Amino acid sequence: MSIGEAFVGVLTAAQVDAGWAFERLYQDLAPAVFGYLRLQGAREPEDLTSEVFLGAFGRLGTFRGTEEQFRSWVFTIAYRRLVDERRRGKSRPCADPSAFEAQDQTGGDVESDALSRLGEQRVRQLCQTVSPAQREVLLLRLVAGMTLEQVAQMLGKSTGAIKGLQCRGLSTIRAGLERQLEMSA
Amino acid sequence: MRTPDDPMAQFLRDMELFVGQPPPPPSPALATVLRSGFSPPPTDPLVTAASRRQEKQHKPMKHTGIFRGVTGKVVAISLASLLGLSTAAGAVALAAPAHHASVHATAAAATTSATSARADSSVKVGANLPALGHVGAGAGVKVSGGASVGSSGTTAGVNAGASVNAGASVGGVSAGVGGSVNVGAGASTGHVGSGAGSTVTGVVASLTGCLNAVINTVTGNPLVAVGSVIPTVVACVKNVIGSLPVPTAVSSCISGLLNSLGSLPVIGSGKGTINLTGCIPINLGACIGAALNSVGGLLGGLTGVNNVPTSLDACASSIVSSAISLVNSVLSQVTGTVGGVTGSVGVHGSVSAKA
Repeated sequence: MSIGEAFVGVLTAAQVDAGWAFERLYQDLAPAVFGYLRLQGAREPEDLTSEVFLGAFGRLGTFRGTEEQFRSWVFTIAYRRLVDERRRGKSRPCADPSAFEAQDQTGGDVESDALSRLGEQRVRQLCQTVSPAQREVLLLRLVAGMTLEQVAQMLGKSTGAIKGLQCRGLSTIRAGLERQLEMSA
Repeated sequence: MRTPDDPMAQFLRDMELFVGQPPPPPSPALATVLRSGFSPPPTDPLVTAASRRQEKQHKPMKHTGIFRGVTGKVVAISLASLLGLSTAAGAVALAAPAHHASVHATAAAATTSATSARADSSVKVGANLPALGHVGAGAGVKVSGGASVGSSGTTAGVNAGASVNAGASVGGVSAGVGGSVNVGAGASTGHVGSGAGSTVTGVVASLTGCLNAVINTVTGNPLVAVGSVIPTVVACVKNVIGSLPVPTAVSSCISGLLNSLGSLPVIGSGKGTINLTGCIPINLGACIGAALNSVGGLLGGLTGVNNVPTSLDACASSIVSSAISLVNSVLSQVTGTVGGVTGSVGVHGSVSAKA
């Protein structure tokens, strides 16, 4: 999801403190940021999501760039908040899929809810099969939609190193998927 | 290439679903920001106005150019009229017309009082107004304005007026351009929704921001190629209007007008001028009136806007000024509902320019 052509106007409005523009930016990006934080094992992803956006909106006046760059900027803030939380010892390993269950927000259609839960379960299980560094790279690439260069810059690694982590992470996930298929066959 | 049955493709779909869920409810602090920005809500405009006025004594506003003069007044008047709407809707302020009259005594005071409606954000609007001190080899600006608020019983009236007289010679060549802009809007509104003011204020602010993106606020020089100034301003204004909670008919109408503006040719090089006589040649009243008819409203007093500008900068400012006035008028009509209290808003601005 993206704002598209209206982004310039929305950003400009947000930079001059228009509440409706903040709301638009939040609605657009919060789901992905929330999902990223959940998959990263944030202890209270809802609160952390709000913190991320408060931080981002508070510094919005300093931002210059495109919508893609804005997305990357927000995820950089999310990543830093997550690192801070980990330093404080509040995060938990992603390897505990059951820990997410209380955070599930599905509701409504039973069939689609069931499918959604299955999908989420698969994502969470696969999340624990990769190393933390690989997971970081994969989530930033797949969830945040950041480029290799952006991820490299954010994590302070070379583009080659990021590419390697991504490749190994995807291989691990593919192997995990194949194992799941074999088991279900 | 992945097939639809590829486990990896399925995984990526799952991932998309996972991160595509509705956002979590924001924390109370964030919810406040999403509702009304970081500025304090306009619970007591008069108190805020006083404090802001005091603040302004230490930070005098610079009147350094025609652009600041023209757009600043239009923004101020627009915001002042919005404040008037809120005042009428709130009915509390009606009890003290004399106090309001003093607050709105001059155009400068109107700026202050308008600022009070949205505290910090509106201060930024004023602060961000581009100063175009270099319209030409010589530029003179004379600004005068007045605004008054009165009320009687359940009827409130807000009138704001400003006039700008500017003389400019562009590129060392004296060119006489005469034009006038008259934008008036009459609205019969009652209990205007509480969100209307902040929405319109935000829009006005963002429209003003459209100019900041293309014009240096200090030097008055374009930040983009001369030929891109108008198209960029128009694109930005369209984006802002496109994100507004107004009926499609209204936004389409405005967008159509702006499209025609964006296609105007730029003449000459350097700072350049555009086809001034045709800068804003369209009968805005008819278009907006037709659009508003589709939502059951009537727009009175909005006259067609004729040619304005003496320069590229002035033309850009006139586009934004017109858009601000239009948005102001449109949203006032769309969001207002007739109730027990009747308020009237008049926004009148005039611009004349000659060498």
